[in-house]
Amino acid sequence: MTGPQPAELVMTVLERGGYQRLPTPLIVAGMEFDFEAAARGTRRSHDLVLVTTDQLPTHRLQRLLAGLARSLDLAQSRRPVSLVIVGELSANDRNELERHARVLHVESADPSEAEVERAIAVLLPLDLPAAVLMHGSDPINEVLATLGLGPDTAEHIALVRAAIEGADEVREALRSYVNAGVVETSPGGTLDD
Amino acid sequence: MTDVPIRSITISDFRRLDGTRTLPLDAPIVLIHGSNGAGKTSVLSALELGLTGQIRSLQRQDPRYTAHLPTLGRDFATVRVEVDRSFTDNDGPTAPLTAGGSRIEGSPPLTAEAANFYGERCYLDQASLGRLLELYQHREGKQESALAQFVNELLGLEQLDALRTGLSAANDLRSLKKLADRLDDAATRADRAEADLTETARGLTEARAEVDRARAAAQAAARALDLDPSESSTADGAVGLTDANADERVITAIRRAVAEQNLDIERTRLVALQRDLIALGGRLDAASARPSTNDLTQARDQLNEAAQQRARWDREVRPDIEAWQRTASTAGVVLDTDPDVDVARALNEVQRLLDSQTTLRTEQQTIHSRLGSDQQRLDSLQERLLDAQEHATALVEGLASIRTALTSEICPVCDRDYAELGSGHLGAHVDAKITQLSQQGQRLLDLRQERDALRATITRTQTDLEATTAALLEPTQARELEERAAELVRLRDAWQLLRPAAETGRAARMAETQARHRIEELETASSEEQFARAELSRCASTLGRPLAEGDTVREIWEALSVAVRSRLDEIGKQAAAQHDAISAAEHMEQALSRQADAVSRVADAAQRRGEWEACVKEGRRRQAVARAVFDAATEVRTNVVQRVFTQSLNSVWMSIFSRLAPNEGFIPSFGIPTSSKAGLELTLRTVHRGGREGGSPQMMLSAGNLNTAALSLFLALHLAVNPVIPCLVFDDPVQAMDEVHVTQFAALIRVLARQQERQVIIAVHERELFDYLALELSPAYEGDELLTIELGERSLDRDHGITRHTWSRDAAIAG
Repeated sequence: MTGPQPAELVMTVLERGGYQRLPTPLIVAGMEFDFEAAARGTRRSHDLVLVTTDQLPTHRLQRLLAGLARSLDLAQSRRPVSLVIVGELSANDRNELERHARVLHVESADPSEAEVERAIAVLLPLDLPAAVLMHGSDPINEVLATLGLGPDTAEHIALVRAAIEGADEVREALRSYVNAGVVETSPGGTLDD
Repeated sequence: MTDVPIRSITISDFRRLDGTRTLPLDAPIVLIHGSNGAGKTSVLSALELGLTGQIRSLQRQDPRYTAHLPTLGRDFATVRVEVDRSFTDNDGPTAPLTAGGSRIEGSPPLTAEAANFYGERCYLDQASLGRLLELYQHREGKQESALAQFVNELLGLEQLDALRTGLSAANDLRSLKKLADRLDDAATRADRAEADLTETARGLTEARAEVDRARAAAQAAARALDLDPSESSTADGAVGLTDANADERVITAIRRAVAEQNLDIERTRLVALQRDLIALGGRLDAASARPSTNDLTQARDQLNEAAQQRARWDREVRPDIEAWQRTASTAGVVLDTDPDVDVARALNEVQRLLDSQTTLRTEQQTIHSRLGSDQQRLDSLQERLLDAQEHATALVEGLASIRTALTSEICPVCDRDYAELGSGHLGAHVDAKITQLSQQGQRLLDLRQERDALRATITRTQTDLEATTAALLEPTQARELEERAAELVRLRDAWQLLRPAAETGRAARMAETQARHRIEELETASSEEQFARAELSRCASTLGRPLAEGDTVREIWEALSVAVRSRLDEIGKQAAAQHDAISAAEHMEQALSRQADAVSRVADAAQRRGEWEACVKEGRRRQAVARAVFDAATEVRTNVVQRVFTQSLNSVWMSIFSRLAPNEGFIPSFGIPTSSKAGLELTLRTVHRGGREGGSPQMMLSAGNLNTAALSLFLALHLAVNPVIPCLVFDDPVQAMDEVHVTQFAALIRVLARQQERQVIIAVHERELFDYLALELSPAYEGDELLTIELGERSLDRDHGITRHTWSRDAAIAG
C-alpha cells in the first residue's frame, strides 16, 4: 500500500464532490457509531455517506448500520444513507447491508482514485460538458478560425457567409467568385458580357 | 419552490380517471403511486396531452386513439395543465383540451418547440422505455432515424454541410468548370492560345528554315553575279552572316549590281546588229548566186561578139526578110509571131472560100430543078381544085332546091317513082346525096390547104435560090481568089528558104540581150560586195573587233555572226543570272518579311497565352481558396463530430450509465461517424472499461442493463441540449431494475433535480418502491419540496392522497 488509506481516498473524492467530512466517531441522535469515516452532503444534498473497509468484520458492520438506521428513524430523519465499502463483500452480506442503506462497493482493497470515483459516481455531481463543447461554437466562425487570418480572409468570409443561406447559395457564391476572378483577369475583359 | 414549469393538472373523464380531479404538480420532485389499474399511466398520458396536444406513444400504436380517451360511457375527456407563465404563449389561464371522437380541441399551453421537446426529451413513457433503442434507431424509408435527427441538430452541421456541399465543385476542376462557365471558357481560350503558340512557333521555325534556304540561294546568286556575299556582309564590320543587316546588304548588293549592269541596252544593240548581219547574210547569199566579178570581162567580150553577129545579120539577111514581110503584108498575111503559121492561116482562108463556091453552084442547080417540079404540081392542083369547086357547089344548090319540092317518092326531075327501086325513100336519098356532096367540100378544103402549102414551099425555095445566087462570086472575083491562093503558096515556099536565116538573126539578138543582162548583174554584184564590206566594218567597230585583213566577206560575216551570237549567249546567261539573283533577293526579302511576321505572331500568341494562363491561374487560385475553405469546413466538421460524440454525448451517456450500473463492464456508446458524409450513419456499440470494443448494446448487455442503457441514453440526450422545458417525467422507469439499480436511480434523480434543476415527475406502481423513493427523494434543503400523489383508494381520503413534504431541519446529525 503506497497511497493513502482507502477510506481516506474515498473521503478525498467525496470532499471534492462537495461533501463535508463528519467527525469520528459519528454521532447520530446522540449515539456514537464507529465508522471509519463519514460525510454529509452540503447545499442541496443532505446525504449521509459512511465509509468503511473490509477490515471491519461484516457482522459488526451490519450491527453498526442497523443501529444507525434505527437511530435515524427514531430521530425521524429522512436523510438518505449510502455506505461505501472498500474491499471484499459477499453478495449475502451486501443484501443484508442494503436493507438499511445504499451500498456502494469499491471492489479493490487498494483502489485507485478512478475506481473510487466510478464506484461512488452516483453520489458525485454530474459534470456536464461546457455548453460550448456540447453545442459547438458557431461552426462558421470555427471554419474561419481554422483558416486563420491571411490575404484571402475577405474571400473566405464571402464564401463562408453564404453557408447561412444553404448549399445552393454557397454554390452560387463559388460560381460568381470564380467567374468574377476569371472575368477580371481575362485579357481586355473579353469574357465580360 | 415556485419556478418549476408544470404547476398542476385537471383531468375529467380521461381513460381510467372517472370524474374530475385536479392534481398539484408544483414541486421539484413529484412522486406518483398507483397500483396497476389505478390510473397512474392515465395521469401521465393526460399530462402529455394537456401539455402538447397529443399522446405520442398512443399515436404510434393507433392513430385513432383519441376516440378511446374518454372514460367508458363518456363522450369527451378534458385535460387542463397549468404551466409556469414563462413556458407558454397563452395569455391568462389555460383552457382545457377536449378529446373525443376523432378530434382533440383546444390549444395546449406549451409552444410547439417546447411541446416537441417535452414529447421527445422529457417524457419517457412506460411502453417506450423497453423499446427506446429500437425507436431511436428506427428509420422510415429514407428518413433519418430519430437519433440521427437529434444528433444532427445537436451537431449543428447544417451550415457546415451546406458549405461543404456548395463548395464540393472546388475539389474537382472539371466540376468547377461546369459550375463556373467562365473558368471553362478561360481554360478553353488558354488551351487555344497554347495551341496557337505551338502553331505559330512551328510557323516561325518554317519561316526561319525558309530564310536559311533563301539566304543560301541569294548568296549563291550573288556569287553568280561575281559578288562576294561574305565580303559584302562583313564590309561594314557586321557581326555575322545571319544578322539582318548582312541579309539586307546581300539584297542591296544584288540589286545594285543588276541596276549597274544594264544588259538590255547592249542586248538591244546586239540584236539589231544580229538582225543587220542576218539581212547582210541574205544579200551575200543572193550575191554568191550571181557570176563572180571575174566573169565581167568575159561577159563583155561575149556581148561584143553577139553585137557583131547581129550587125552582120542585119546587113546580109534582114533586107530579104523585110522584103518577104512586105510581100506577105500585101498578100493580106497578118504577121504575128511565126510567119509559117501566118501564111498557112491566110492560105487556108483563101482555100476555104474557093471550096464554098463549088458547093454553092451545085446547090443552086438543085434548088432550080426542085422549084420547076413544085410549080408543075401547083398548076395541076389548081386545076383540080377549080373543077371540084364548080361541080360540088352547083349540085348541092340544085339538090337543095329540089329537096324542098319533094313531096312524094316521085322524082320531080324525072318523075319516076323512086319506090320502084325498092331502096328506100326519095327524100332520104336526096338527103344522103346532099350529105355526100357536103363531104366532097371537105376534100376541097384539103386540096386548098395542100395548094397553099405548096405555094409556101415554092416561095421558100425561091428565097434560097436568091441567097445561093447572091453568095456566088462573080467569075472575076473567083479568078482573083485563085490567083491569091497561088501567091500565098509562093510566099510559103519563099519563107521555107528564108527561115534558117531568120532564126539565126533571132538567136544573135537573144545572145546579145543575154550578154547585156549578165553584164548588168555582174556590175550589181560588184557594188553589193562593197556595200557588204562597209556594213561588216560598221558591225566590227560596233563589236569592238578589228576586221581581219585578207578575209573574204563571207568569212568576216561568219566571224562577226559567231561573235554576236556568243556575246548574246553570254548576255543571255548574265541576264538569267541577274534574273535568278533578283528573284533570289525578292524571295529572301519575302522570306525575311514572313519571318518577321512569324516572329510578331509568336510574340502575340505568347502574350495571349500568358494572359489567358494568368486568367486561368486566377481561377485556379480561387479554386484553391474555395478548396481551403472546404477543407477547413471538413476539418471543423470532423472536430465537431469528434467533440460532440466523444467529449460530450458519449461521456455524458457513460457518466449516467456508470452511475446506474457501476458494475457493468461494457459501456454503451455511439460509434463515431468517421465519414464526412452529410447524412450521419449512427451506430450504437459498447466499449469495455478496459478500452476493448464490444458489440451492439443489444448483444452485450443484459435485459436490465439494456433498459438502463436506454434510460441513460434518454437522460444523456435530454442533458445534451438546452432544456426548452426543464422537466423529466418517468412512468415506472425502474420496473426491470434490480435493487442496486433502483438505489442508484434514486441518487441520480436527486442529482437531476437538485444539481441540474430539472422538475422530476415519477410514477411507480410498487408500494415499497414508492416508500423508498419518497424517503430517498425527501427535501434536502430549505424550500425544497417533494409532492407525493397516491391514486387508487388513498385518493378517497381527505387529503386525496396528496402529500406535500417540506424540508425540516434534521436533528439526527448536527450541522
